[in-house]
Amino acid sequence: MENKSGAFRTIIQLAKNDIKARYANSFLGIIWAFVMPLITILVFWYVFQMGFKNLPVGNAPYILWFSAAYIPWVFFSDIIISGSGSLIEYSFLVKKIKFNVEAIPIIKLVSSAFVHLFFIVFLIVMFGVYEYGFNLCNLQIIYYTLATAVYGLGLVWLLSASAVFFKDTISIVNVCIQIGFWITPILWNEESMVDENVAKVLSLNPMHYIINGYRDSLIFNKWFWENGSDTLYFWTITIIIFIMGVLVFRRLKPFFADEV
Amino acid sequence: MKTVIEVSNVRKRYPLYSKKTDKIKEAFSLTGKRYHKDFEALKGVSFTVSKGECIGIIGLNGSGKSTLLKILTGVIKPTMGEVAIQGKVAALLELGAGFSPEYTGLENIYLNTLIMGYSKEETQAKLDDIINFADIGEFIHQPVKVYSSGMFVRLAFAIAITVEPDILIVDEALSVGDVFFQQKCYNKIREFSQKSTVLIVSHDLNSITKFCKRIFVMNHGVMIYDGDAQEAITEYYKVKQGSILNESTKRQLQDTYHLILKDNFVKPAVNQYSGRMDVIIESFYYQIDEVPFAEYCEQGKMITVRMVVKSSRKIESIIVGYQVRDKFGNETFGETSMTSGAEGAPLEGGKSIISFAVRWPQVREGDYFITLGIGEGYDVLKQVEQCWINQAIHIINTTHNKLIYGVFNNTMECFKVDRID
Repeated sequence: MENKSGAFRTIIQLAKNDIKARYANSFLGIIWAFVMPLITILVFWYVFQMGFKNLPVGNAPYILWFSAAYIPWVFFSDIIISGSGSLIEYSFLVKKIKFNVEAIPIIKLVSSAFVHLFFIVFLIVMFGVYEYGFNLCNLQIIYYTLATAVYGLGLVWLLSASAVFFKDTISIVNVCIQIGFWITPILWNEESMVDENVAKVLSLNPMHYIINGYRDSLIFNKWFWENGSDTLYFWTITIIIFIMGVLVFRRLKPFFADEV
Repeated sequence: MKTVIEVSNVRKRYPLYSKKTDKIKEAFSLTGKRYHKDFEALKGVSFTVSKGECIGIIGLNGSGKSTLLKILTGVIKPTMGEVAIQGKVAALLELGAGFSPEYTGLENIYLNTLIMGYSKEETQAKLDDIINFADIGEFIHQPVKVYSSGMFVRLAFAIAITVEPDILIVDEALSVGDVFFQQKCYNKIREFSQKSTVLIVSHDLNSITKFCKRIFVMNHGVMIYDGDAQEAITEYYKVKQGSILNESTKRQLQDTYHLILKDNFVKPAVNQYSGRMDVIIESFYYQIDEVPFAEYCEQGKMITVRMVVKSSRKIESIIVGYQVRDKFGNETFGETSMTSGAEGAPLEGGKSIISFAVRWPQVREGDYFITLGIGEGYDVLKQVEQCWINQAIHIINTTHNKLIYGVFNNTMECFKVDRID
């Protein structure tokens, strides 16, 4: 990689290839990347909105409220799951060729971001269908997407580096993502939680901030600085994890080629 | 000449754990206790390479050749020591070249060149050259995972050579291709080595000596020889045949030097010996058609060899053999007493003289080296190599301008022209 722009181009190109390769063996190919979350949304719509007649949350139909949180969660879990195994998956770049291995988790991140971009458009369409007008606050999803990316990248550097040495990391990550889905207020409303202490503990999860952020941007039209303390908390944790990720990755990098 | 590769005192150590859990125990050990044994793949290797050199690296399996090349390409880091490289490096390591198994050949071309730092346009300009050189037909549009190992290496080599790196590193990969492809590659490498630097690891001594003037011989992580190709092959065979002489046998040999029977027998140099050494060829003598120690030879002449041997014990059956290699290390011809029809002769303890004679066959002109050997056993394939003198005799074969079309010529039995209309 000669220079910054060359490196950027390489990563974008590799991310495009990555998406293609991910579904290269399936007949419908790339479509699967979109079908899975869409089906989930459809099922939730049918079960909760049609079946249970779940009440609208803060004036928003349940399905909008759910999707606004579910879409960023899919983005996050995709970054983490695909990123953690990325060094192992791309062992040919680690072992056989001189390559800036730091870029490998970024490739995964960018490829997840491509898919996420589609879902943001999908969200906008959904809100359009329910006749939501444009609000300046909506633009905040750019900020929250970036926040997810930074938080995810720090984690993925940390996890992908340890996965090289302890393959168990990948299984642990899968379990954590499962747990994460349920402890993050994606399909339940934290305001209806009875025990406040439990709600407090659960809000320590940095994804809590992201999920609420998406809802604030799309539904409640609330600016992120209105939640000053939450923002501060999120970025403190994220920066700590990011620095840890960088340090651990750098430290373990010389041994990757021998271990992968 | 400009130095492009400088390696100083490079060491590579791998930790070996007997159990998987040891690794975790060590990682979390508070006392810093070590749970592994170290394996040293490279034990302090130093050399410099100038621009335009073509270097071969030979050695037995596990001698550290591939580790060295991986360090040069920057894929792995040395545990200790410095590596300085100037210029773009393209490498073919074992059977991999940074190919993604899921991508098609074509996609992999773009991927590979992209990683090496070439833009899409630059690659497009060279795409035809790459595809033509690889010559794998429709498979270029198939995922690489369905490729045969030959196709894989064809494509990898085609990319590596076409992108015109400053340094090309090839690790045993070519041996997978068929003969025609290998020839094509070697031609290309030769052409390439005029302007760039090449490093090749190979077990094919024939081809490596053909265009590498300088050869490294690796043994157990140490570079035991760096220099002239011919000499390197002697060193290689010495390693291959087992023992590099240990100190005590060396001394024993030195002691016997003053006990030579006849003045005109020559003592081989200590570093020419290899084998078990229960039997030692102390000195030898040869003549070509009555001329002692003649240098030139031609088809039909008789070479007579006599060896003074000393045996430390009685040996039931000895096998005496010779092997002739050309200057590239190709085993051109050879024979043993056993396979010539002689019964295995017993050899008493103490000194004896062994002689044999061979008629020089029709071979290409040039330099030839005869290795003399004595083995113990009843079967050539199961013999114990007792004493070999590598490259004992140097002969220059002349053919008086008669063209030899291969290793030897085969005369036509019949030739005629008939008119048919």
